[in-house]
Amino acid sequence: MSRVMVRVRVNGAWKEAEVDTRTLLVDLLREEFMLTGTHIGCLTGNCGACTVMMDDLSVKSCTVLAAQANGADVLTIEGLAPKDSGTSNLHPIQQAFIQHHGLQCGFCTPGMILSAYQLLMRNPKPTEEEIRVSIAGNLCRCTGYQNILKAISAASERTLQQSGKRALRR
Amino acid sequence: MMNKPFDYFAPKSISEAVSLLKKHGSGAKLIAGGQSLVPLMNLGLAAPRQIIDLTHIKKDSLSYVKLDKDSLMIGSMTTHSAVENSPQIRRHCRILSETAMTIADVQVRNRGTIGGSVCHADPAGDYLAPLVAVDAEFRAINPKRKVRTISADKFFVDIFTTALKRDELLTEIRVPKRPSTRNGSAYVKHKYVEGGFAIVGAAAVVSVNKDGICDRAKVVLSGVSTRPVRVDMIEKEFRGENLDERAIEEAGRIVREAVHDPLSDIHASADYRREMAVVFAKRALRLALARSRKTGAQHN
Amino acid sequence: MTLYATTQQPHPLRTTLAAALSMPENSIRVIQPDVGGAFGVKTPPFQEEILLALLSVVTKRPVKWVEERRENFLAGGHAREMVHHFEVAFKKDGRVIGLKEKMIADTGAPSPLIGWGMAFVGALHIPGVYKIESVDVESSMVVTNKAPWNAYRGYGKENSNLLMERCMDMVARKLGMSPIDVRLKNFVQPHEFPFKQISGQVLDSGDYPTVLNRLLQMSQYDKLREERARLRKQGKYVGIGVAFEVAPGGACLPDSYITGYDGTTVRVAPTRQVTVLTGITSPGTGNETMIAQVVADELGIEIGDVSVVQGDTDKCPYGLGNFSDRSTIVGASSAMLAARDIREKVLKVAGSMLEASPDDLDVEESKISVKGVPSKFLKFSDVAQAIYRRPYDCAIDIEPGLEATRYFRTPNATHIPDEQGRISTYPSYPNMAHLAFVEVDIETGEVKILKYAAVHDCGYIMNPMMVEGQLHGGIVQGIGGALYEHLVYDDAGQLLTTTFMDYPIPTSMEVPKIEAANHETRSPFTPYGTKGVGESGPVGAPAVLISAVEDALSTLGVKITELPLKPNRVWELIKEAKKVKVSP
Repeated sequence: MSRVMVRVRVNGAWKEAEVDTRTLLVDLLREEFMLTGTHIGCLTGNCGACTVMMDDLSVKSCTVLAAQANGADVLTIEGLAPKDSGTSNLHPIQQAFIQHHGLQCGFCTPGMILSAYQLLMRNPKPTEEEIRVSIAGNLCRCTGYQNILKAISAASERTLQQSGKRALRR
Repeated sequence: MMNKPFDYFAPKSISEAVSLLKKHGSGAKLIAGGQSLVPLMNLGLAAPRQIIDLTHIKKDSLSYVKLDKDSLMIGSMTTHSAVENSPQIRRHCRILSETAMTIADVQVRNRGTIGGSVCHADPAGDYLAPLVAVDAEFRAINPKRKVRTISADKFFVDIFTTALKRDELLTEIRVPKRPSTRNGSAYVKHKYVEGGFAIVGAAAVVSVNKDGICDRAKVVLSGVSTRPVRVDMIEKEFRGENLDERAIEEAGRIVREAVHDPLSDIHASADYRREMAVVFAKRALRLALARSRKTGAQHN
Repeated sequence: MTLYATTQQPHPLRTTLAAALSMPENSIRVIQPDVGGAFGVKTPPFQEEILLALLSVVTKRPVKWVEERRENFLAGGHAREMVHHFEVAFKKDGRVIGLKEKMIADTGAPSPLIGWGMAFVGALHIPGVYKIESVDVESSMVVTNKAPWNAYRGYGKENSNLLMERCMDMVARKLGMSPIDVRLKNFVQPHEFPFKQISGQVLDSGDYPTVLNRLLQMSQYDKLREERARLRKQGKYVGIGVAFEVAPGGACLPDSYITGYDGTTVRVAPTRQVTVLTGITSPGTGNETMIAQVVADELGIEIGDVSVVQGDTDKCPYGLGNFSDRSTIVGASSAMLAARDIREKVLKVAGSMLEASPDDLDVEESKISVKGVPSKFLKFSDVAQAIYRRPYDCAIDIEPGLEATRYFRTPNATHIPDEQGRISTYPSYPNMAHLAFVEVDIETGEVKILKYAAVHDCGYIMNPMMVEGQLHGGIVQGIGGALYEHLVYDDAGQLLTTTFMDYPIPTSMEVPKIEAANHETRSPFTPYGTKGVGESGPVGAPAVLISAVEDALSTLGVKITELPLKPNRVWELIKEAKKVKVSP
């Protein structure tokens, strides 16, 4: 029983793997499914680089056992935009991060973007304070957060101009 | 990867979970949201031999918020987010949703559960003080399906230690309903940075009569000691008194005396913790009092 | 053997591996993929990299090692623990005339990491941007059983900067002068550049008074003082701090791989796409964008046609990677030189094809046209193809091929000692004025930053958005170091802070809104006048925060002599000051 079969719907497609029970959700994504956009920054649930959506809730995938995600619907950064489709097809939040220089080294970016995604799905028109709260669990060492706040605010405005949540939904 | 392998079980029902707990004894550990346990396992600070996962138990059997005539009932697997956002909790036990809001960050609140948090019994855990302050009761079930009720005050025994027996599973937290007027409560905490553990958490619950005289005033502190500190003297001293600023200063003095041998760590010395207990107890009391005096407001 | 390493210096790492493993250097390839933020920490070769290479050679198998956060905290390198004892001599008008400084650095265990140099570089940058006739500095490095020091953004200059700014504040307080006037009195003046400091370091360029004055204007300093008075009347403990920073860049240390040159190859394909291979690497700043921009601008082509390759010893010219602001100093400059060689060839061939003198040609939007006759033009790709296909007619006057490799060396470092035995090791002096407005909760000791503003001089600005991004990030790192971040050991030498729970770095909730602006004075020593920006921020933020917190607590008489300003410690300082005040 130190191995376990895990079946997860990742970015719309069911995938399964037999893994060691110690495998974290982030390991499952990175090592078994080769989705390396989700990063590991601390393993203590502090840095947020491993943030993914699980059943429509943002979670830190280094604090979830892969087995706990059995049957869950997971969305990773790779699921936000069609693969290799160029910058014009990126998700509105991703485009806003590019436009407002919301990243430097990019390590925290996938987690930041999924935290922003969670926020805008719940609250399409957040205040600056609400944006700050939404990414308080995502550490960034490069940007001082200034341009990340700008990018999320811009993404909110852009999606509101378009069709609201439908523009966000992936 | 974690050093020590473990066996993993995903019971589908509460009774299956408690039988597994009984079967495997002291090496087994229940996991709910895992927001404390998994980091500890990642760091090698916890290494259970068996993990019994509660997340695959039918969702509404442990994750719910219900009301009856006397109390508010919260399933142990209710997430912090759900506690934060539940209209019933906001209405009948505002201090709990206020507390949930201050826990860690969005992702941790989405995944972590109230039951997991209280069973972990970290002295700096946010729910400890407010649950003691509102006279919450904890209901646990054992393999013989016997349900035991433990008062919040008795539940937290020591650092990372609760009154639960090895084969018991916490199923529900009950909070007595209070009249919705002239009651005020507040939870304030002192932390180093956002998302950090509380150096001190202070919960205050106040009731006043229609003349503004105190019927009830409770202050409970977490983070300062190995278990929540109830400052009973405040209750005794202030019943029948007018809670003015002088009384709040007096409450501060009582808190200073009630905090014996405070915890000390790299962020806060024992002296500092004691003093912060005083400062935040006063802040919580002031806020609770202001809320109790808002006419027609429904705070508890 | 191929090593994928999170390094800032792939080529020097290859050289070290060859020596350590007694392998021919050309049988080793080091590849630096995206490394996340590096901040200097990834500059030196690590023991683990050599061990991994050895394991792989011995086992003939791929070997992978992932360092965990806890291991990084424990052994990835520490920095900055230093004690200063200093005396200042000054005139009644605020002019500082003498400084005596003894600095002792706890550099931890001896190691191949390059951190100990920070104590040396710090000492070298006293007295910073100020003119002081007489300076005596004694710098000691003490080896202890703590983790070794490693390079970290600021590289010791934050320490000397803090010392100098403390001196200015203390002189101001002693004289009852404005701290701004004291600084203005002591600055090296704009007409004095290049200015040889008493340490032998040569400040390249700058206009410190204007940078400081622009900050005061931008942050509405006078209004802020009124605001401070208003809030103080309400019983709030608020304070304003102003500090200057100089963050020398482009390090050229003698006889080392930390020195002042780098190389870039510009390679144009017949179908016009350009590949740029450069020896500078990205520490996660996005400098590849800036390099592409330089090449596109010089060649008059679209940036989309330029791709940049970095961090691969088999592809790029031998280079020293990234540290000390060098991507805009030597990286951009070598890219410019190589691109200009290409441009010259392209214009020569285009001239012969258009029957015009190369001097009469314009290059823009991937078109080469005769000046004043825009209808007479060739596409950049037409000329590139001609160079490859027509070596015997229109391209006969040039050497075949459309590829150039050029190196750039900063001209203004000297390693030959002057008559006083001094060398100069930093060619570039980006500088910045910081202002912080803070409130201290005197019950808890918490410091809240209400306003933060800064004006920076990085010389010529290649990419305003990226410069601003560097300033934001650098300042917030400085705020982190000043208020939150502390590596704590117990009495037995055990590190207690090995997770982000115990070593908190600022989150989105702690950082203030940062207002940043630029005042450009170009370096005369780099082709574009660039000075660098990557190390700016953490150097001055600690000084401005101490200054602001001290101002906020000035009525209590609190004096701050240490960092970080954790709430517990600030609370103790307040308590101690109150005690002193009460007792006669």
